Amino acid sequence: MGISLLAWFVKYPLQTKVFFQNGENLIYEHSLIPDWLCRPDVGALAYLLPGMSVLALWSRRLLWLQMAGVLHALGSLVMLWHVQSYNDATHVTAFWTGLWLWWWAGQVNKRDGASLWHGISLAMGVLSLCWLGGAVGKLTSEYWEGEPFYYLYFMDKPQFPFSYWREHLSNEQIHTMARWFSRAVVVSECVLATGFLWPARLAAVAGLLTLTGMVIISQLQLFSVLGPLMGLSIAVAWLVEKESAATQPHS
Amino acid sequence: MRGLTPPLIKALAYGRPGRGGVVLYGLLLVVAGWLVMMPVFPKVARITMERMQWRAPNFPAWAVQQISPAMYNFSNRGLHGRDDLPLAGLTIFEERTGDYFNHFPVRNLTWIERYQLQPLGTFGYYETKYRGMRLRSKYRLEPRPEGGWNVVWKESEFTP
Repeated sequence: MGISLLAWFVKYPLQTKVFFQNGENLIYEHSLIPDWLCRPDVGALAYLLPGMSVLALWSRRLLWLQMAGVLHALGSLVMLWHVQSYNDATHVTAFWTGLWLWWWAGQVNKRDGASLWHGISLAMGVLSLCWLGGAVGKLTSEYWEGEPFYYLYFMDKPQFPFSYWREHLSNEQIHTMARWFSRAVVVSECVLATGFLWPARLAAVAGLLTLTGMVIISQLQLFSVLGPLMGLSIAVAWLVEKESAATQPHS
Repeated sequence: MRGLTPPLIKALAYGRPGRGGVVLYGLLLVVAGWLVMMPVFPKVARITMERMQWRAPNFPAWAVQQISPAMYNFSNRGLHGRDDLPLAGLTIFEERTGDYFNHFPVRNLTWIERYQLQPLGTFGYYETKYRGMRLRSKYRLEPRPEGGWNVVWKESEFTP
């Protein structure tokens, strides 16, 4: 939850600025979104509420932990519907992480094998679902040829190494790099979507390494999106270690 | 070999997860099932492509899809202009390159990009492509006399 909260704090100043920037530019009516989900104060409140879960970090009371999960899940759900934040994948990963945390907080004290392994299994299910969601939408010729990534990353990103490659490589070389980068992303996401079938420790380590790589490649831009998933991967690894250290009940 | 067993199998060997766990497993299963159907059933793909461009019969039909992960889904492009061009026979996407969005291209009417786009014109044209299908939509940012904007859908065109 700490990593999830850190990711949340990274995004908060930017998002709050967007909510309240220049009142003349606000959206008041929308063809699909209800009026109350166009209000900036509703968006800011939904964004602020999960921040209160920071209190859970200082408390050992499970009720606080459950409340943190509830606030993360419900706040994220409103953000997924709000006209100024619906597009941000941060809220999808935070929503699912919040649901897991909500459920897990009710199991922590049970200390039985079923709760522990269902906790690991559900966390891996959430991770796999997020990889699957990314993978299926890229199973198309445009991504196989690397066209969207060519523009989104290799042409549009101003930072290193993309800026360096644009200066020192030919357009044809960059096209080739974009194609293989895109294929690697598609294949990786498809493979990691099956993570719920893997041994828990392997899935946690592979997921964490991939997520860290994605955060680095995106120059930290994806940290708020992937932070909750990194937190879940760490939770899986921690629970597996906890189980290994405990006496095997069925041995 | 015990270490290679998937956690779900181990968990079920210990017992059922309780009511909350069953609900969470069920939710994961439903969303995963929907996602797996997307490349196989064009109708499912079309509904998800329409989600990307705010097209749905009503708000609940769109809102329920929002918990489904869709990072960098589809090939999405968006262009802005002052001219009110009909979608039938629209050629601006073929005439230009670039203007890609990772997902939800219509967000440029409502998110940070909106502040940069207004001088370019208030008509937004959007294209989402997936496995031979194509969805195009046209929106307009209409200024309100008292300040602020209305986002108004004008038309959409789906090519199977």
